[in-house]
Amino acid sequence: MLLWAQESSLRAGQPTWVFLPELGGKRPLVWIAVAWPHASHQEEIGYFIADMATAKAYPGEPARHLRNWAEAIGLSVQAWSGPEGAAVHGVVPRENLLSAVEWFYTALSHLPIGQPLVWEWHKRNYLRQWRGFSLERELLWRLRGRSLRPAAFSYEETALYVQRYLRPDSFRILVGGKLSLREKMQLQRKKIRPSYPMSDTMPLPSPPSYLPPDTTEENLWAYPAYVALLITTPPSWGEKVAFLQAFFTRWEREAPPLRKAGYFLSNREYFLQARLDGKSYRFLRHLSYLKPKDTLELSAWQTAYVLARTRLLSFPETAPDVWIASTLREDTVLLPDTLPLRVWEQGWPFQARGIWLTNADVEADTLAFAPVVPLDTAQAPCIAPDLFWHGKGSPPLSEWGTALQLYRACAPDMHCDLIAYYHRRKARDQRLKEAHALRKKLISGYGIPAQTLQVVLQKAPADYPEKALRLRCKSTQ
Amino acid sequence: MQKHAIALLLSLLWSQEVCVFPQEGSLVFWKLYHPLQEGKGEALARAVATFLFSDSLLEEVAYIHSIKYRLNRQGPWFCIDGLGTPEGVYTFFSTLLGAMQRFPQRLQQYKGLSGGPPLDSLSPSWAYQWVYEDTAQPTLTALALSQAFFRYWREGQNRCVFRGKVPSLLLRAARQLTGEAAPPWPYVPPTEPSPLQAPSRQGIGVVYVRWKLEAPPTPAAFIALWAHGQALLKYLCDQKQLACRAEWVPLPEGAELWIETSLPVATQQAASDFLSRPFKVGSEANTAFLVWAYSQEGLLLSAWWACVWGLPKLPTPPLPPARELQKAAKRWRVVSFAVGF
Repeated sequence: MLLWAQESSLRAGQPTWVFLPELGGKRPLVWIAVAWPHASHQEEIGYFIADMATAKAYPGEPARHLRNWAEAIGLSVQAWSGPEGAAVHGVVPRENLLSAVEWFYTALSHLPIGQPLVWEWHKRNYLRQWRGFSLERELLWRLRGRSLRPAAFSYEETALYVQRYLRPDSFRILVGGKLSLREKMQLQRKKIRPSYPMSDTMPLPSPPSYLPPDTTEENLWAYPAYVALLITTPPSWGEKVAFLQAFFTRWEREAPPLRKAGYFLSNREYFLQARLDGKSYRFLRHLSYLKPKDTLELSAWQTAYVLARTRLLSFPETAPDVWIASTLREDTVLLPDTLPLRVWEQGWPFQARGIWLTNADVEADTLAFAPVVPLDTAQAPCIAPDLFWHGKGSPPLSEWGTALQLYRACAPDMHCDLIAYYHRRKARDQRLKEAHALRKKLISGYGIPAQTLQVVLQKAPADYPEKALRLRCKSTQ
Repeated sequence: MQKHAIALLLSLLWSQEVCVFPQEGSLVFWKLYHPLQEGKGEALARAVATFLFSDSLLEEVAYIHSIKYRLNRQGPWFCIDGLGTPEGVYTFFSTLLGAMQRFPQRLQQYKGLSGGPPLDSLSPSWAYQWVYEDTAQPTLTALALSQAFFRYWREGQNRCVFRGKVPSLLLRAARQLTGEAAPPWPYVPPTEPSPLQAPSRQGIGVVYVRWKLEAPPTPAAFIALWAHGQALLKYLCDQKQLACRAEWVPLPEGAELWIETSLPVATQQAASDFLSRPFKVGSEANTAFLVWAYSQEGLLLSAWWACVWGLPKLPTPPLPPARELQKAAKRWRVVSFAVGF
């Protein structure tokens, strides 16, 4: 089953209607959104205007009248803004759909333009949301290339935004749910007449797209690691949803994050914020391609896709980044029932760039690197050591020596690598010398045969500490 | 005589082990829940559920069918809720039955679990333990686990509620997980903490509000009580800007509302002012309730609420008239107090 949207515009100078009959399921509610495009750098003004239009906070008129009216018809309204545009949207019982359209038209036609005092009230109310420190917000704005100064726009800029973008002919009204032809005609006969003057100037062009930096920085806030990333997604919607569900399923299974949240940011990007432990951080760092390992994983991915698809279709109000943003981009959302098997088997490359916050505790996280020092040697299981030292203080000579001795007792044919990491080429020789010195101490001090321990030099990932060392063993059997 | 009949009817409804609220669509929302004795023993119940759900077969089935579930405590209940396709949930429940049978054998290799998730100031779970005077870290021996497992899972204390398209096979599997146990221990409502434990003026806190019905639960009482709570939240969030997040917990004879706030004293004062005023509920409450009951956040909660109250179905159009709602709104008592972290 494919998702069909029907677009129609009855009159010039009036909004374009987009009907999405498959959305919302068979519940007695209809989802409706009034959206308008804007330049990508005006996302914040767009959210401010949409929030103003929801009339949730202002105590005076006409906001109070709008609130009572919304309550009477059962309309719950939310604001949304993105790089493509902004919108006010909500769900309403089916029988009150016409009243809901009137409500939206009234709310958008009577914005407090020409009332600077009311505008000041709204701006102060908006700034209250910025009180205090929020790591998510700060990273999001850095990733988008914006300054962290909230609401750095004036009354004149807002008025210009309204006159430029909130024109009846630029509105796109989305209706999710099955409607009869008569209902559609009734809706389209409604007219919107804004009370503010329209501007004849062309909409502002969007600035060139900003390529966010890929940086690794010290984490001072959310233990142990925190990331704000832009993940590149496939171009078609079916594959986008499938790719993300495959990624989340694999991630939750192998190295679940402590907390995660995300949404679609643009046509090819998914914005992800997550708080991670050491194991999860390393998983994300080293993931480069997503391909099912076996039929079990393939089946799990397919089921996850089906569930995600059903949720997107059943509750469109929870995914404005999908439905509203794609409509404003003039992109059709096609979510097939299933994807061809070859698409799953082929997999997708995984690319993520953004801000990685980490610290030395991530490397010492026992979930990632569990030191193995069994207490009872008689009954100790034969586990090959995989130990990491983050380069602070003196190397754990006794611990590593003991681990090697214990492993040699149960696996005489062991082979171990002492891996020294370096960042700059100039430091290679020094690192090699230090690693060999440590190797000599282990051989002479703990009786480890020389042929079982060798030094390996490796280029370290950006987030590894300067003098990190690793001891990894395996049995040659 | 009438009161005895009502009590008998309530106990019969209370022992309704599986509630199904049909809804078109290919998703099934489910919840397994059981009462905690006097609201205590969360850590033990969580340890039992964690150990039971760590059965390797069950984990594989949950992975393959993408069954997402979470274990959490809500008020005096311990709940496991999740979502999946009808086939997936059926397979999951069938495997859960097998996991229950394997539980005693697996318990022989029990080496200890942590006492549960650490107290997180960002979630109200600490408030549940505080208000119900529950111990956070009891001794979790295998014997204690075994006893709790038999008490909650084998002796039929579990209840189940579904919202969605539920095939008969799934219903049969759910009935085997639940049981027709005798009515559980009488609900002991929590009392206000002593003045010595009063919360600070500013800090993480929760305002606890409890409604107790003085008449048998009806759809009109459901809508009116919900509307009262929503009006209180709107007052606290939009007008007073004190608290905007809250969690509903249904009770057999009413409901609890746990309101998260960083200004507990001021929020409690504002809530008391609001609750002391007479509440006028009109027919717009019906419309708002309908929207909530079909939204993603209200889908499972409304079904659970109706199940706990023993209502045979969710309120659907034609909804009760305004005067019936107003009449129901006069027949409850409200208690509220604040607790601080």
